[in-house]
Parts: sequence; C-alpha cells; structure tokens
Amino acid sequence: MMKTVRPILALLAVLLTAAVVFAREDHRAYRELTLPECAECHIGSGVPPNHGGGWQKEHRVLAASPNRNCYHCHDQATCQNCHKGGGLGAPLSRSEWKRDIAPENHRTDWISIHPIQAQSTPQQCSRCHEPTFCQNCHSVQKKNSMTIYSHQKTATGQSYITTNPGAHAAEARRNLASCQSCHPDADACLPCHSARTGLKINPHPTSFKGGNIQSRTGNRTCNVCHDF
Amino acid sequence: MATFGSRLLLTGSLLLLTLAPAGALAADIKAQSSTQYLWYNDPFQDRNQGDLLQYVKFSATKIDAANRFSTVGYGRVSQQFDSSNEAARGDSDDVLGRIYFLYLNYAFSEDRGDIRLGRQFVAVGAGSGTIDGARVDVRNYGPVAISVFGGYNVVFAETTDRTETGNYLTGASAGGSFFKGNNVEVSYLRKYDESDVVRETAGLHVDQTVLEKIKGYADLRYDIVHEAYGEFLAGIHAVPFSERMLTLTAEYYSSYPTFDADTVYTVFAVTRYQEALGRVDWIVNPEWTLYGSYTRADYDGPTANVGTFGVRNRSKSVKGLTVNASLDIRRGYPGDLTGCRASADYAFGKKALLAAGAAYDSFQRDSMQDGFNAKKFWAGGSYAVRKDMVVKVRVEDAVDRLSSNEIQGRASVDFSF
Repeated sequence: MMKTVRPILALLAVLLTAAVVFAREDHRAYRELTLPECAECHIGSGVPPNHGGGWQKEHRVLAASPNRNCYHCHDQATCQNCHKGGGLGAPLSRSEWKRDIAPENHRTDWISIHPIQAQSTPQQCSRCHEPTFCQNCHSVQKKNSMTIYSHQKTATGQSYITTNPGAHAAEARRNLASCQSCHPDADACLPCHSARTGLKINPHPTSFKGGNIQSRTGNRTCNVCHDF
Repeated sequence: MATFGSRLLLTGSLLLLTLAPAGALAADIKAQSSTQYLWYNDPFQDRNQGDLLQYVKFSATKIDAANRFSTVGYGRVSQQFDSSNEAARGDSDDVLGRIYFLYLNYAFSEDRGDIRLGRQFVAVGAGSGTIDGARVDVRNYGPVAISVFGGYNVVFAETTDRTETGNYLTGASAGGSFFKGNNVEVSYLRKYDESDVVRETAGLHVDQTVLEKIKGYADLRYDIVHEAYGEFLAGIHAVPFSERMLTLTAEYYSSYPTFDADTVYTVFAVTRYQEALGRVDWIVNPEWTLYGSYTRADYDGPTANVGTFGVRNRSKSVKGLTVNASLDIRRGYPGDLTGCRASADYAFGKKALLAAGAAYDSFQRDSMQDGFNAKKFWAGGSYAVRKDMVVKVRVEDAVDRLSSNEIQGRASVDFSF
C-alpha cells in the first residue's frame, strides 16, 4: 500500500513545489505605471515586457490562460473597451464609430479599407462583432454597387454565374463570412446549392460531418436544403 | 425575452449584495464617471448627429469583515440626437443602456480563486464571450488552475445588449505548470442557441521556456462539431541578449473558419488560411522601443506579404514628451495598402496633456479599378480641473474616399470618487 502511495505523494510534493517556485511576479504594485515605465524596470530584470508591437495579436492566448495575471493591472473594462467599444478612459488617440470607441487597428477610411482587413484574416472580425453587425450596414447597401470580381454588373443587376462561374466559389471558400454579411439567410446560394431545387450543386466539403450538425440542431439547419 | 438575463443579473446581484455580507462593514466604494458628447457625420444618412453618453464604472470592496466579497460594474446609457431611428445600425432616439460587466466576486483566501456571479467577460483557450452567469476559478492549491463558467450568452447589439432564453455559453479550462518553465492548458467551450448546441470547441495550449531565453508555444482550437482544427498557432520567442531586451518571434498560424451550427453557412466548404510571421521587438533603452514584423499569408492560392515597422520614443531631454510612429505595408490578396501613423503627446506635469496625430493610408482593393488615399488628423487634450475631475476634448478631421472633409469629435467630463 505504502509503495503505491509514496510515488504519488512525491509527485504531489514536486508539483506543489513547482507551483510555488515557478510562480510569476505579482504586478499589482505596478498597475499605475505606463508601458515605458515598465521597460525601465524590465531592462534590469532580463525579462522583456510582453506588451510589444505584436501585442494586439498575441494577447489572445495569454488572456485566455487559467494562469493569466492580467487582473494584476487590468479589470474587465480593458477587454470590453476594445472588444465592445467602451469609452471610459479611452486614450485620445482612439477614434469613434458612432457611440463606440474604435480599436487602434481600424485605420483611416475604415468603410473603404475594412474589406482588406476582413478578408485578410478570417475569424478576426468575429472576435468582437456578431454577424448581424455586418448585415446591419450591408443590408442597406445598394445592389449593383458591389465591386468584387465575382459580382459582375449586368443589365438586370449583378450576376456571378454567367460571367465568372469559378470566381465566386473560390472567393466564397476563402471568406464565407463576407457572403454572410450580405446574404444572412443564404438566399443567393440556395437556388443552386439546395438539395430541393435548381442545380442541386453540393456545397459541402469533401469530409463533411453532417451528422454532428444534424444531431446538435435537431435538423434545424439541414432542413433548410433537405427533407427529413 | 430580450431582457430576461439582464433582469436575472440585476436581481441576483442585488440579492447577493444584500445577503452575502453578514457582518458587513462600511464598504469601500470607488467609482469613475464620464459624461461625453460625441458629434459626427452618419455616412449612411450623410447628416450630422450627436450622442450624449454617460459611463459609470464602480467597485465596492470591504463589504464583509474578511474582505472576501467585492462587486464591480461598468456600463453606459446613451441618448442620440437627430437620428433616423434605425436601431439596427446604432441609431435610435431612445435612451439606451448597455452593461459591460456587473458581478459579485467572492475571493478565496490567499489568492486561491474566485467565484463570480453576474455579467462578466469570460475567456478560455477554446473561446470567449460575455455571460450573465457564474464563473468559478480555483488556483494555487497545487500546480493545476481550474476555471468553470456558464450562463446566458450576452450579445452586444448596435445600441444595447441582450440575452435570450435558450442562448447559453458554458466552458471550462484546466491548466498548470508541471515543471520549470512549463504551462499546459486544456479547455472546452459550448454555445447554445434556442437550446441547440451551435458551437462546441476544445482548446489545448502548451508552452515551454528553456534556459530562460527561449519559449516555444502551441495553441490549438479544435471545432468538435465540424471535426476540424479551427485555429492553430505555434511559435518561438527568443531573447538572445537579455541585457539588450531584444525579443525575436517566429510564428505559424492556421485558420479554418467555421460557423455556428444554426446557420446554413456551417455546411459550406471553406479553405484553410495560413501565415508565417517573423517579428523583432527591441527595447533599446527606456527612451527608445523599436519593432518590426514580416508576415507571409497564404489563402490557398493567392498570397500576401505584410510588413510592419514601428518606433516609440519617450524623450529624456524633453520631459513629458512621447512619440509613436508606425509604417504598414501590404502587398497581395485581397489588396495593397501602404499606411503610416504618427502621434505625439506632451504632459504638462500631472495636470494637463496635449496630444496630436496624423494617419495616411494609400490602398487599392483587388476589386478596385483605382487606388485611393485617406488622411486623418486629430488633436486633443485633457486638463485636471480638480484632483477628481478631468475634462477632455478630441477633434478629428478625415479626408477620404467618401468625404472630402469630415469633422468629428468628443468632449468629456470625467469624475473619479
């Protein structure tokens, strides 16, 4: 019995010691400092501060860790001010979008430039915005005003099938969220991709796991195109 | 339906605040308030609008004798003038409220964890969100830290926030440091819509620091519904010369965008996005910080090259002056962009601050026939009228594709008490 217990106790002792020995510096005493002031101390410590030039991308992983120490210096307003547009204590460098304070990565002429950002890093927009955020503006955009390759202007409106059938598929696969921003119910997709009507072109990926979606949503999603 | 979660949150928090501290002391309450007026041009209506906003953030500690209970909150109410009442796009003449967080916290002794009840931002490796619910964090009992949460999923709509019965967010994570320089974390997130599971994700994070100079890390989000690796990040941070504060980073990131299972987009094929990044951060001395990065992005066919260079200076010779400048260059899919930004602020002791900046972007999306330029100039300042009262003004002038001269700004009076 003791032979079994001893290694477990030894392991526990090692783990507990590790937890104490490798505990990180408590930064609560320094929470009022500015970043340059942090650097003054860190230069002597040999540990570079991590709020560097790539911090906007980097912080996601560290902030989600159970061992995060963000709360030593920040409260949740730091998260919500950037992710949800809060404006208490907003730096003077930050611009606004209507009632909300915009984050630093929203550049000049954001209405014109945002497609580059949205298409360049899939999933980035959804870290802060709901799909409805896109739809609210795109729904009032005049039809026939889109300038993307796959939506060529025609005499009757816009068409991507007759003029450029391959382009819309490639564009959609690269950035399906942009399709959703104007076609939230996939009204433009279903005439050809539904299993009920039209060309019945299969839109699923090759290793499609439809059973998972079916079981979790009780056919709610599948019934859009299929009869069960 | 829309306010059920909020009602529950408010009722629960008030009840707990009343019942929890049996031997209550006079609580230590701190608060910040900001009354702001924003003026801008609405691009959809091409007319000027104005918004009046009132922010309040507060914390109450020392509620009980052992100082275990505390409560914090942050929210705003806003009133828009001259709007078109298009609430979906953020326009409404109604007085609207938004609660960012409002929760009661019970802290275990010796920083061993917390129990939080109320509205709060939650984040684990598998995903993040805002909930009206509960979170339990347990740490410092051993090498493993555990976090469990669940509640109504809070959606921040354009003008307010809402929760609905059947829409929930739950999750958990466990992680710890098992030997020197090591961290391992596993996490799980589940999102419900109309009581159906629409998102189910597992997360794994591993990092290891060796010789106190090199840290390798990997972070994975696995989409259980689609049985696909939604996001994968692996990288190395190296600090070759610690006395020089030079950090070198190399990263690989891969993204396979998936959708909530209740939208038909969840069944469509998508392609994987990949990027490789190299970055240098160098704190030259307390005055100068430099950073630069290069990213090669691959969109399953088209590619892009992205470069960034930035500098920060806090002058020793001109005390109180800080200067920032950055240059961003993008070439390739889905468009080209060259942009630069510069800003400076000068603090007159602790009472006043003047700040100004300019930004310039030259861009051409792949879909555009021509390229465009956009400029933005801004200036602002703050002045501490009293120790607890600061007034701020910021004015911005933008010249871009849609407007030749668009002025917007904000003025605020901030109190802390």
